[in-house]
Amino acid sequence: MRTWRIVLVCGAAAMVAVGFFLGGFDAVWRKASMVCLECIGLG
Amino acid sequence: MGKRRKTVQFLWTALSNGYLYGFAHGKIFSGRMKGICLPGLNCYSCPGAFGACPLGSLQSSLYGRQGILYVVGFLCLFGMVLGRFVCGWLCPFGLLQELIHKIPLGKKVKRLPGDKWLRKVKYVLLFLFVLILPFFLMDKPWFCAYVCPQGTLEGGVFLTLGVPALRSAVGWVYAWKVVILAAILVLSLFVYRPFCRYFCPLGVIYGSFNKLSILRYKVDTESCISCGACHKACPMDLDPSRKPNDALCVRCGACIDACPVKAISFQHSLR
Repeated sequence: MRTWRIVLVCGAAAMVAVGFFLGGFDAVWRKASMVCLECIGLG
Repeated sequence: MGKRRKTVQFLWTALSNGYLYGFAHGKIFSGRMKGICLPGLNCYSCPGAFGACPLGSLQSSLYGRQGILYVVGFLCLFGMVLGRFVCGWLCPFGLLQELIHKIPLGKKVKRLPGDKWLRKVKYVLLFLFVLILPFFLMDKPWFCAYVCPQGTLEGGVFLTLGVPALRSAVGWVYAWKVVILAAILVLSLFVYRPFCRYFCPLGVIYGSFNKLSILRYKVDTESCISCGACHKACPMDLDPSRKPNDALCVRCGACIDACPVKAISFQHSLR
C-alpha cells in the first residue's frame, strides 16, 4: 500500500507539472480571470 | 477538535476569498494566482477569490480541450493527500451549511426521507453535468450553469449586487439557481451539510480517495469498546468504528472527540 500511495501522489504531482508546461495553467487562468457568466447564472 | 476546525475553516475562507477590493467594486481578481486550483468548492467568479474552483476548471478544461491534465492532477493531488478532509476543513460552502445548521430552528435529522436514492444524485451530477455534457457538447460548464449553488452565492449574488449592468441581465436561469441555493440553505437548517451529502460532485471525487489518502482515520480495534459513541456523534450518520474511511466522511473529527477510549485518530502516513 505504501508503494501505491507514493506512486499515486507522485503521479498526481507529475500530472500537475506536465499539465502546467502544456499550457494548463494559462488555460485555467484565462477562464478564471474573467467573470464566468454561466457560473453566476447569467449565461 | 471542533474549535480548531472552525478556526481553520474561517481562516481558509477569508484567505482564499480575501480580495476585498473586488467586493467593494464589483470586480474579480485577475492576477496569475487565479491559474492555481483551490481545493474546495470556491467559485472563481467570486469577487474575493484568489484561486480557481477545481470543479469549474475541470468543466472548462473539458469543453475547451485545454488543461485537462493540469486540473485532473490537482484533483488527484488534493484527493491523495487530504481526501475529504478538504470538504470538512477547507470548503467555504461546507462552512456555510454548518453555520446554518447551528441555527436552533426546526427538528434536526441526520438523513432525509429517500436518503438511499438521494445519495446517488451526486454521481449523476458528476458524470452527466460535470463530465459528459461539457465534454461532448463543448459549450459550457453545465454544473456551474444550472446547478452550482456556490457559484450563485459567491459569484451571482455578490456580482449582481455590485454591478448594475449584470443586474439587468438577470433571467430565468438566475432565478432557477437562486431557487436551488435557497433550497440547499433551507435544507441545511434540518440536515447536516445536505449539499455535501446528496449533491456535491467534488465530494464524490475526493470521497473516492478517502481510503487511499495520506491523511485518514485510524481505528485502534484493540482499544475500541464498540460503545457506539462515534456513530451517535457522527453528523453524517456513519459508523467510523466499522468504516473509518467511508466515502461520505468529511473528517470533521466529531467521532475523535466522542470516543471515550480515544480509539479513533487522524493518521498521516504513506503506510
